[in-house]
Amino acid sequence: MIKKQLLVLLVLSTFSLFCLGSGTVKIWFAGTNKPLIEEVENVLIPEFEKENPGIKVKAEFIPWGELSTKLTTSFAGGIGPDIFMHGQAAIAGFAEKEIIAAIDDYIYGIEDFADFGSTLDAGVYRGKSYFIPVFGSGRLIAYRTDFFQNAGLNPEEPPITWEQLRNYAISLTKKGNNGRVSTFGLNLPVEGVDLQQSWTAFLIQNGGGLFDENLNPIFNSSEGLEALNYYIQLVQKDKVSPDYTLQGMGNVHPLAAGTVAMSYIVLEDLAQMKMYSPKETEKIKVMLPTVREERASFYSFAGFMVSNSTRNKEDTIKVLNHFTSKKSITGINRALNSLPPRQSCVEADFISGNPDIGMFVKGSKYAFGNPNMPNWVQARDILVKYLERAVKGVMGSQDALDSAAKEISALK
Amino acid sequence: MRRRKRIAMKIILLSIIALIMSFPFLWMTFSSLKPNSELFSIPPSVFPENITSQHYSDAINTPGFMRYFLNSITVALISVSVNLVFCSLAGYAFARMQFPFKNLCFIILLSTMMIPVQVTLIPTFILVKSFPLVGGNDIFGNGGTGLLNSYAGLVIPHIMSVFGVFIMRQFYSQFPKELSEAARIDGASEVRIFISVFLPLGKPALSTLAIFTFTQTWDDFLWPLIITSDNSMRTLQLGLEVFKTRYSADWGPLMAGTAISIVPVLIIFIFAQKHFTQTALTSGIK
Amino acid sequence: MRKIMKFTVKKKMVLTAYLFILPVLAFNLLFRVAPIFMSLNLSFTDYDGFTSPNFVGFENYLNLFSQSEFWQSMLRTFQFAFEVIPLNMIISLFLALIVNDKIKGMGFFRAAFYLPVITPMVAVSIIWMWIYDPQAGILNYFLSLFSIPPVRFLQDPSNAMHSVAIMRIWRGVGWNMIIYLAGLQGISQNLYEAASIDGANKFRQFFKITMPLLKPVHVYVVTVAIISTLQTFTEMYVMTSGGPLESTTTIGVLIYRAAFDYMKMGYASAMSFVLGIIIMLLSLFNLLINKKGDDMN
Repeated sequence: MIKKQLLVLLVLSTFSLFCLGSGTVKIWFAGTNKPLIEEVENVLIPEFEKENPGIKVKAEFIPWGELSTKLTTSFAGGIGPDIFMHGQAAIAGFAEKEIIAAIDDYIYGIEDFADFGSTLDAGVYRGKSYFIPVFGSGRLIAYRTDFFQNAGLNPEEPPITWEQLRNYAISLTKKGNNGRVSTFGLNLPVEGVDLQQSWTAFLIQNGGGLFDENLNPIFNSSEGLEALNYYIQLVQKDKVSPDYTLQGMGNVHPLAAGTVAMSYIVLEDLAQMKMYSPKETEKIKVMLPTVREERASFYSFAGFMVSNSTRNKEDTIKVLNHFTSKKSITGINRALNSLPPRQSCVEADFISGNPDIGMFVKGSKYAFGNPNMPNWVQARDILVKYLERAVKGVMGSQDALDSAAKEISALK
Repeated sequence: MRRRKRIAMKIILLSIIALIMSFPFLWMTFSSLKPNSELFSIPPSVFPENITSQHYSDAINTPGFMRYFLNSITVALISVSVNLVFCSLAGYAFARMQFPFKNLCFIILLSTMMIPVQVTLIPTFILVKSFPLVGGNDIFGNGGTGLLNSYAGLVIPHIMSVFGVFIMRQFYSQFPKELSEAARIDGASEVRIFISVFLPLGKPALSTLAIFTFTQTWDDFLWPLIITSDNSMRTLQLGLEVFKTRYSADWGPLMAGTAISIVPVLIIFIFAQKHFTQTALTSGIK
Repeated sequence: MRKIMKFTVKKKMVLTAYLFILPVLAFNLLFRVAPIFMSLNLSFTDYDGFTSPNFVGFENYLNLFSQSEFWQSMLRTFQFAFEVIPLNMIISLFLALIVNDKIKGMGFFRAAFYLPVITPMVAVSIIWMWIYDPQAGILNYFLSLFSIPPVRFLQDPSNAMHSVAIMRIWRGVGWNMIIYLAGLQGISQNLYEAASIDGANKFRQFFKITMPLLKPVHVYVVTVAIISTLQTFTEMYVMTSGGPLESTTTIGVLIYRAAFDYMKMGYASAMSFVLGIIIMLLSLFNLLINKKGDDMN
């Protein structure tokens, strides 16, 4: 009996109406850093409110780590935002639960929507669009030009094939007097999401894929096995990549510290390195993804989704249009030093003036993202668990992939 | 002479332990004075070569920093005052008074500490949001935002703390029972016994309670994040978030801001620990 | 006549006692007990945090009991607790004893020992990651002076949990030191004076006077330590995110992941209640075996 009452209370609260006063649109940004807040509060919102006198915009900035927690509690309390930002991997889950609304009818209202190109596809789930990308990040290999020169390699010609990558890694690996490795040729992640994303890049380079159209796992194919064995060879047999996660001091990247010669980095790492290790950063260059069957590299976007419970759809869509305009997207990405989803933004000063970010833009041609499936986070964690076992040598590679596939299939 | 040597030895021992315990804090403080290029040098260094106050001015000049600071102080002081009064009353009753259902009441209170906060977060949030007749809510708790964005909402996880009641109960049960019985035979009322005998005796325990409540309220991050949407109600820990990015942080101002944020807790601690002195519990007890 | 008076006095005492506990009890029933019942209900549903819950009976409980993951992390959590609690108590009592002195400037040392409690996790984790680092870490530097090969403190599955435990002890002893310090103040100096006249040395005094009189404090410290170590989450999340090879995935980490990463609030609630009941039984057991001498009236 009590149970029923409490459930009623929960449900009531979920649907209880909450008015902030007519014409206020609540928009949540993921991320709290100062330049982003200043751009939104001091530039983008005043602009919008000046053009649309009847509508007020209230922005909140939520730390990435607590985004899910705050979203859950707010929606449970019936006071969720009208528009919120999240990673593209969250789309399927939210769409399946009908938390977010399909926006196919409104996309055409967005300024030059064709400018987004294929990045809009990231937001499609079961044939409907739910997501406008705002900023992105990619994972590419960066390398130390000085280490290349010392090893007699041409820094202008980074490795292209798997075999080259391996040979480069072997010749770049240096041992100290005590026989221990002092510089690893390559830094492949062996833990967490980083491991999953890096291995998936090799999987796709090898012509494989994670899931088929019906979201059944296909990564335990021969392509997947080959990619995993290649990975394991570099880490376990050749020992040119560390079998544990290299920690820098605070945020001195292992590349800047000189403990690795080539390393996967994300775009954010570049800005950090420039800030804390300016001298070493000058010797760092970024290369395009390696190739076997094709080039491939992990990219993902964060973007806006529109809540299904928004009460003022018309105003909400106006706000959405404003914050995804060419000018807004450029402003936000400049503030975050991130990768804009609009092709026209590539000419913006902060990209054209920086060859490394430029390389990330070039690399985005070979981008793959996370699959749009409802249980993705859990599936990913399962995949990570087994990949980790395989890479650390406590489980055979075929066995690991099969077990992961089996456990993921059981999720549905 | 021997006593002097003993004290000297003791101070050396204390200093070594103090260095181990305060090392991260010292490192953080020294780092907050370093320019960015020096912040994470290889190999790491503790002392700054060039000293800059840039990070401190960056931290303090963050919009809203003062407001956040005052909010944190307000919330922490409200929580401390409420706990000092009500936790000590309840703790005393549980330790030294007889009443029916005493154990049951105590177990009910204790049971609130057993469930991890992650799963009670949503129900608590809904309760606070649906609190009737405040924040635009009607009598059924609908229509408004209840205690969200208010000091009353912010203190909820910290006031009337069961930990606090438990601490006070354990401290008060430390004293021999003759202490209250003598007073009862003299005809003193329970309230009087509490105020004139046990409140003074409880000074070290009350100081402990004050320190703990202040520390916990001050460090709280998740709850203020969830129940505030209004910038004017945010607390300092939320304010420090502006120096963090998705994968990393703007370390200089973050450490400077963190160092500043520790100062009030240290002041409260140093003020409260003075009361850790032998109380006037002397003759009359075996 | 006397009997009646005693009766009214007693009645008055009961009334006063209820008045004393009323504010705390009422507040906790509303804001802490009610949410627990609400999440108990949720543990019988498929609640995801967003859509309205459907009743699923004991499915969540059956699920978790059949998951080896759940029991493995329960076991890990207990190992962690058995490692942390005794060491934490011994060290914090030792610290309390050495700062319980009237030497001038003692406040400074007490504050220094309390610093780990208030130094935020951001700073703490940077430092400890560096201390533990296999290449540049200060700990491995010391080991190398004795020609001991580098140890992977956080990167080796068999070391990671112990390394996190050490950090946790370092971070927690200041807190318990304060409780013990306050407890030591409640012990009358006369007792020690009488004992030294009887010829009891310091060790004897410690075990015959200090330890027994601190019993209520020990009860508190143990109970709270059980609760907080079994719910441990932050340290793992920040230092190791549960790895390597799941070796630091405690039950707290599982609950957090289920609740907010996988949107399985119902399942997370079920795990929490199993954990909660275990904690409750342990704490009641602890209170019960110490009941003698704890009840003063």
